[in-house]
Amino acid sequence: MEFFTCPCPEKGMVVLNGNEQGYNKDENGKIRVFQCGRGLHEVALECREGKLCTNSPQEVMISDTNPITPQEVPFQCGS
Amino acid sequence: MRILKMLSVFSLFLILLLTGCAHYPVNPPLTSQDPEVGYRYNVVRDIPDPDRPFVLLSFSGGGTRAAAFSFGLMEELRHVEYRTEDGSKRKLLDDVEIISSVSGGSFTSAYYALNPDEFYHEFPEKFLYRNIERALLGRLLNPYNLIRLASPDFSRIDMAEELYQDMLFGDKTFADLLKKGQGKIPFLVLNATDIGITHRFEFTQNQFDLVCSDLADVSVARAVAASSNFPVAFAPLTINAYKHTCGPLPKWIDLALRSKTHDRRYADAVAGASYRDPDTRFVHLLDGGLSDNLGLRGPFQAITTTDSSWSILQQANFQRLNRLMVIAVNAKTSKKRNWNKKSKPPGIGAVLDVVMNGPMDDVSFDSLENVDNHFRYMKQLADTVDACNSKLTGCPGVDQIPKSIVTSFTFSELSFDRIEDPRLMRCLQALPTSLALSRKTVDLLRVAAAHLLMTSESFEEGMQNLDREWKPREVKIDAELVDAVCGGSNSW
Repeated sequence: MEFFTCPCPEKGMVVLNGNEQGYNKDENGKIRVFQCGRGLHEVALECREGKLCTNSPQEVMISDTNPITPQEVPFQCGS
Repeated sequence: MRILKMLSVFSLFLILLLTGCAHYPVNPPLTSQDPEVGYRYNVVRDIPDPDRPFVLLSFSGGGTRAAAFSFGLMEELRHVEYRTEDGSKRKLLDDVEIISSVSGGSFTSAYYALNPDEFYHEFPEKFLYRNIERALLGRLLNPYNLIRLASPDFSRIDMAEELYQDMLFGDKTFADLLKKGQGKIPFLVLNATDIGITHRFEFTQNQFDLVCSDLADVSVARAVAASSNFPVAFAPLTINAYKHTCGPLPKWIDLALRSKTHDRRYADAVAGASYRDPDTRFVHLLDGGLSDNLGLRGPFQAITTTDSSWSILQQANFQRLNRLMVIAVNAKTSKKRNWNKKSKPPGIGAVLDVVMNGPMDDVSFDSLENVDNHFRYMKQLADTVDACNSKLTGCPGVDQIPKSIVTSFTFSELSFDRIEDPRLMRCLQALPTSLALSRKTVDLLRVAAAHLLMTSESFEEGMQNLDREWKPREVKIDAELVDAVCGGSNSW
């Protein structure tokens, strides 16, 4: 099992290989940790309306992670 | 003389006509894929409620033995109730999200999905107590069928499908399952084996997307026939693979193929992509037991990856999965062999039995261990995060580690190996794999399943995790029934 986060100044929907997985932050604005299988993935962040994710989607190899130090897949949201 | 000649010509014409007309039911093409339409998890089920347990059942193969054993579980689940947080009582059966089944177990799962209200009183008489082998033989020896079987496009498995239609499923299709309404019945995953690539093949629209075909118009009887298509006794069942463009492959397939990791994900991707190969015009299916005799491989992929079209891990990511309960009905037998006592090697029949069942049993053992180990590993990781956070509590200004694993996992396996009474255990382990068992044997299997569920420590733990007051009921196995099926006390 692998663990990753999608840090971004904005809150957005995490999309893994074309499938939505939930918001990158919880209701308190804290970054959430997501789970997936080991391997090459396409990670995207759908920012809320009016915001644009400038570096989405990204292809990343997610492997050798753990829930304490999940892999970070960072995004930038412009206005 | 002239009349005789005319009769001969007419008979020949009739034979040619019947042979020529005999064709397997062709699965229709799909114009374009629509993720919101068709027999898919998200169409069949509502969004899971995190306050409810997510229950997944898997039914193994093993002919009527497996069908009766899984029926026994379903009967017992009817009695399992727990108190919800608001104090009301709820049946665990209503929380069953998915049933994944193979071969004999597929008769039970499919009949339940099609007829949940009639299931408990109809299924034993319509299937479990009937001599299906005799009915199949009767059809085979019918001159009309003998002529049809001469057609290259109609084989014994298509004839078996007709019997299952007449006897159990009618002409009900996957569209009829969809008509039950969202959230009304569990998502049914009937598993067969694609012998062209020796890979699991499930009867879901997501699988049929790969061959650009519409599952909605495929009969449930055909899917069950494929799932229980015992090699040699029946010929492989054919599914048409269409070559027009109906939609892209799932994204993960291309990613997995490019990563070339040569692991299970890569193998699954190779299998998925093979259906779009221009040469793949037909898919030939045999018993699901050849690739996974427990019906657990699909659930394992769904639990551990987001690649599965019915990914359970995706539900965890959405924070909809607080409790996952997996109950595996495993009707595996184990024969007592005494070959090692003699220098003479076992005969050809015994060797063939080992060749057929040995690897299958080994794969099943690994599948069970995979699920169990995964659940233990996830608990270990969750405990590690908790332990770290406990240590961090004393460190000012340090943030707590987010709890990424909030799911509690319960895995219960019902198998004959777990029966405490050695006589009964050996008796059940020695039951044949057939589609004809005595009424009493069926009854014994039913009560054995109920007993095993109620004595399963992991099941009790899972239930008490839901409702602290929950207690298993006592399910006694009638000694007279055991004697009737297993013989006197020294017989086994």
